[in-house]
This record gives sequence, C-alpha cells and structure tokens, in this order.
Amino acid sequence: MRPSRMSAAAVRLTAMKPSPPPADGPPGDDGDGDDDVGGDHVDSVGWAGGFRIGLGMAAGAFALAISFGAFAVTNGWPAWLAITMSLVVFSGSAQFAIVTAMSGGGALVAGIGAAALINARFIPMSIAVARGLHGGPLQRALEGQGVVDASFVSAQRTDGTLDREKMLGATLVQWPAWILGTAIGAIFAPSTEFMRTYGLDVIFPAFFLVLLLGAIRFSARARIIAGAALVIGIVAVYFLPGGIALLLCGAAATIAAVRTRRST
Amino acid sequence: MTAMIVATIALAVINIVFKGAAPALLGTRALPRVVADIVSGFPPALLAGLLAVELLGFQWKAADPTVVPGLAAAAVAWRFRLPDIACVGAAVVVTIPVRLLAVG
Repeated sequence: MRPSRMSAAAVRLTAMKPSPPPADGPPGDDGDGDDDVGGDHVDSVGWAGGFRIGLGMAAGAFALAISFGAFAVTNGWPAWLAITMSLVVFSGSAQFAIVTAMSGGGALVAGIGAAALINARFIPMSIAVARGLHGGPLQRALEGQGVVDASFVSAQRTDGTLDREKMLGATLVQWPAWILGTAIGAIFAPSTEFMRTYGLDVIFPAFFLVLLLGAIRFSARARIIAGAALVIGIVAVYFLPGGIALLLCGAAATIAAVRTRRST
Repeated sequence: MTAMIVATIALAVINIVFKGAAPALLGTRALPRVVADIVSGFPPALLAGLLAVELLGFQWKAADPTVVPGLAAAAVAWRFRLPDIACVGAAVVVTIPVRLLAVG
C-alpha cells in the first residue's frame, strides 16, 4: 500500500446498507429467503451476524493497521504510542491525519483540528444510532463508542432501526484486529511494496464495493444517492484530504435524500 | 514526544465525545422524519465516498489500474452470491498475478 493511499484509505471500516425490500416484502426481507439487511448473502443479524461480518472488516482493518503502524514509526512516533493511539482512538483516517499533520514538527493544534474535522462524521452517525442503544446515559455513551463506519452501515435495518448487537459485534471484532495490526506494523515496519505485492491494499476497496453493491441492490433511491456521492467523492478527493471529501459526500447524501424522498 | 502524547489524548477525548454525546443526551427520543430520511441516505453515500477516496487518494495519487481486475472479480463473486469475505478473497487472488504481470 503506497503512502498516498494509506492516508486516503484510512477513512473506513466497512459496511452494508439496509436495502429497502421488494414492494411486496416485509421489512428485512429482500426476497432471497433470508433475513439479511444488506449485501451479505447469509443470515446475518444480532451478535452472530455482527461477528460474522466483522471478520471481513477485521481483515481489511488489520491490513490497514499494519500500514498505520509502519507509517507512524517512520514519522518518528514511538511504537508504544502508535499502538496506544489505536487502542484509545480506533479511527484510521484521523490517526493517519494527525501523524501526517505532526510529521516534521507540524503544529499540534492543526493536527488535532484536522483529525477532529475528519471524525465529525461520527456526530450524525451517533445521533442516528442513539435510539437503538440500551441503558442509562453512561451505558449509552459507552455503546456509542461502537460506532465506526462499517459497523454503522451494516447494522441499519431496512425499516430504519438499528441492529444494536450487530453493530457492537462487528466493532468488537475489528477493534483487536486494528490494535494487533498496528503493533505488527510498528514493530516490524513492513514495506508498502510488500503490502502492494500481496494485494493487501485491495482488501478495503473490494469490501466497500461488495457492500455498496448490496446497499444499492434493491433501492433506486440508494443508487441515486450513491451515484451523487461517488461523483462528489471523485472530484473532492482531488482537492481535499480523504476525510473531508467524505464529509462532502455526506452533504451530497443529505441533499439527494431530501430530493428523492417522495419520488422513489 | 510530549506533543504526540497530548495529541493522542486529545484525539481520544474528541472521539469519545463525538460518539458518546448524542446517545447519552438524546436517549430514546425519536428523530424527526426529515432527519431520519437524511440519516438513511448516509450508508450508500458513505460507501460510495469511501470507495472513491480509497481508490484514488488525495490528488488521485493513489490511483492504480491494477486494482480494477481484482475489483471486477469481487463484483462477479458478489453476483454469484458468494459471502462477502470470499468476494474480497477473490479480489486479492486476482490482484496478485495482475501485479506480477504488470511488473514483468
């Protein structure tokens, strides 16, 4: 994985969008006989579904984390601190951003600001999942830490509600993979050429593609939104860092979602 | 070193607040309909955006045509209803020889 892709790549962690069911089907039924909620082709709900889909996400997270660990050490970060960051932050895009911003003596405030801006996408996501979490304020805030890109999307049901167990299960599988990958990358610092030669840099885009296909499979509205976001993402990432380009994609989704609400 | 430690702590706190504030404060209150509609549009937008960002990178410097056959293999595997992880595996398996050929 080349450095330029590493930082761009960092913005992720999989997902699968709830595809609206066929017009005559019940929520959660895409007509294929199972009760999936997106592109996965096996039953995948609850904790078991979360762990299952989390394995795929973890493979991508692991490969990316190796890149992050190597990247951080190369930029002067102690291995222990890179690993600690993965432990307490668990956000690839923000982690790449802050290491990049602070490399060569970059400003602390600028680095934190860039990382915070990139992670601002978690605010609307956490608003969306709030109702589906359990317990009092403290427990809900704790469960909210399970929001990562991939888990968030994969846990959306077709009726718009959250499969809490699936989201948390998927995150619980990815988190240790992220930490372990960072440790391996920080300690052994494999070359980016190694990652590329063995195709490890294709894991995440392939996973995103598969999940996107599942997300738009039955929904014209989702196809319109994805198309708009794709175009905006392609243009935006030419001028802006990946995390900020993603924010713009979210804005596009907002406009498209409102405009297509009644027409599809 | 101190700045790196401060940055790590600050980023961790920011992340915790971003993810935890809404669940703690909103509780079980339902979102307004329009907000729920917008939120439902995030997953496909996020996936499409992630795909673009991942494949092209900042200033398109990460654009790499050798990933295309692998992604096509993943799409074909998906079409044949293989599990997601198998689709990803197909992408990796196809990408390795493609790159070997590209180097050769």
